[in-house]
Amino acid sequence: MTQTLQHVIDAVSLGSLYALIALGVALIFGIMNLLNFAYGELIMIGGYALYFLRDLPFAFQALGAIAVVVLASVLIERIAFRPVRGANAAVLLVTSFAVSFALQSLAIVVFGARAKGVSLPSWLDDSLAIGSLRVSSLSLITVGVAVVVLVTFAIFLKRSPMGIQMRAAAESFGTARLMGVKANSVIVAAFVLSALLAGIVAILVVAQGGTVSPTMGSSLVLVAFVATIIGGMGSLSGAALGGFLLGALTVALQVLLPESLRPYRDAFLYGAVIVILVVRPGGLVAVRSALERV
Amino acid sequence: MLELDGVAVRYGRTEAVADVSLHVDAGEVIGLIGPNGAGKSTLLAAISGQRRAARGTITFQGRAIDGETPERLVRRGIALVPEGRQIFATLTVEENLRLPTFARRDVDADALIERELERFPILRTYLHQHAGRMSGGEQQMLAISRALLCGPRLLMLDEPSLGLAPKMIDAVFAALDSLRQEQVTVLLVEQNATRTVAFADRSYVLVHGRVAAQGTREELAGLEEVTSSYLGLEAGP
Repeated sequence: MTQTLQHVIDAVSLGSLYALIALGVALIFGIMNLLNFAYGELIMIGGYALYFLRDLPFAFQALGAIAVVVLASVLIERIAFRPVRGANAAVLLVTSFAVSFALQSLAIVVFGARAKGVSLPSWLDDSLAIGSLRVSSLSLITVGVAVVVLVTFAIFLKRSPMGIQMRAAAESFGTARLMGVKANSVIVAAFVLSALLAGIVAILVVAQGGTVSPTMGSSLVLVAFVATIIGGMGSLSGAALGGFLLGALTVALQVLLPESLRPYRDAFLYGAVIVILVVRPGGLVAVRSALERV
Repeated sequence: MLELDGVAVRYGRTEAVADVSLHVDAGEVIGLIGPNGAGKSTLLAAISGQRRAARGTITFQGRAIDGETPERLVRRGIALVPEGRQIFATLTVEENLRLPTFARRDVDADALIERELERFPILRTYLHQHAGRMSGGEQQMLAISRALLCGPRLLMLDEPSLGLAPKMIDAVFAALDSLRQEQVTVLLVEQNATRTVAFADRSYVLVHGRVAAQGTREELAGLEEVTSSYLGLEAGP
């Protein structure tokens, strides 16, 4: 029983992390139709910001890292993506690849290819005893942060004028503009929100691994894309749900697979993803189109 | 109010609109009819800033508006009810109505929305539900209300009766008639040529991206080619 509870907590924790990453990718995709491969590099930038701000108190280190990621995201939008805005999906995809490789290469040139250790407060490594259960602080913090962030996002998107404009733009950017929604404002807001998530993810990932490297975001962004696709392209709630499901599946397979098959965990994981897409090609939360009843 | 002079619009190498000149005066209801592929919707896309004109000039209230963004043109007073309604299905009806008011300063959004709910009372029934749940006709009411909440000086409608039951088409034209009483300037694109020409103050007939004919209902009724091809009317003496 204790063991099962432990696995559930691990699954929810990993699912929470994936949900945050997937939401960041889905925000940009929904509005710009852009699969932003450079999102992983935003997480990497956050990691290096934590490394350079390591002498500051943790609160300033964390806030500073998030601020650096937001600034980088806004600059990337202005310099790389705005000039190709409105181009077809292939052009946007290649542009995001180019930005991703450029930032990774720059990090290798400036910081070197080897991972660097980042020291964060020791309380992040503590574990709490709940009866016979031992839960790491970081797992609880990850779940707590994800819940707070997702609820805050939901309220923002539902209640604020910018949130409503972003949801409208995610459903149909062209029609939203016909209603006076300013393209630049909505896109910049999406990049800022997406960067806030990337900054938070960077802190959680660095806290878990203790290191930063130029390629630390690459595998995470792939996870985010898969989560976004199984959740339903263009659906923000679907992306978060897809992230949770992917995290839970990862942990479940790790636990349930026989030891001899565990090295192939990802093959089983993505096999399950294919099954989900065969059953629900539009993803778990298909974006609802207008019902055409006369 | 609106003047187009020799406007051409391309999709790649295809010229969807070849050479269109027309004008709309304040308070007029203008019909734009023609067969499929004549360039009617493309022309509205150019006026509303969704596509750039390859040639010619578009002037609104004495000012060239070529190349301006759709959101800027909304602020200048041009609103479009797009083909297929394009309501935001995952937003509630209230959110759909509130959206255009964010772009307007110094207006009482609640009062304006209330006015639209009085115009189309059926919308109040669905106010807090997803707009995608409504029927096609109800969605068209929402699309018209939403465009009116942009505060337009010129309201353009692209095929507002498309796919609607006859009763709903009557309701749409009744709504347009109430806008005429309010002196709203309207540019109406419709497949339903006979009804459009009868309803509009003047109409333009677009064929292969060019204006083939123009005039009032009586003037167009006198043109045999137009009446036989588009209006299904007997030509006048």
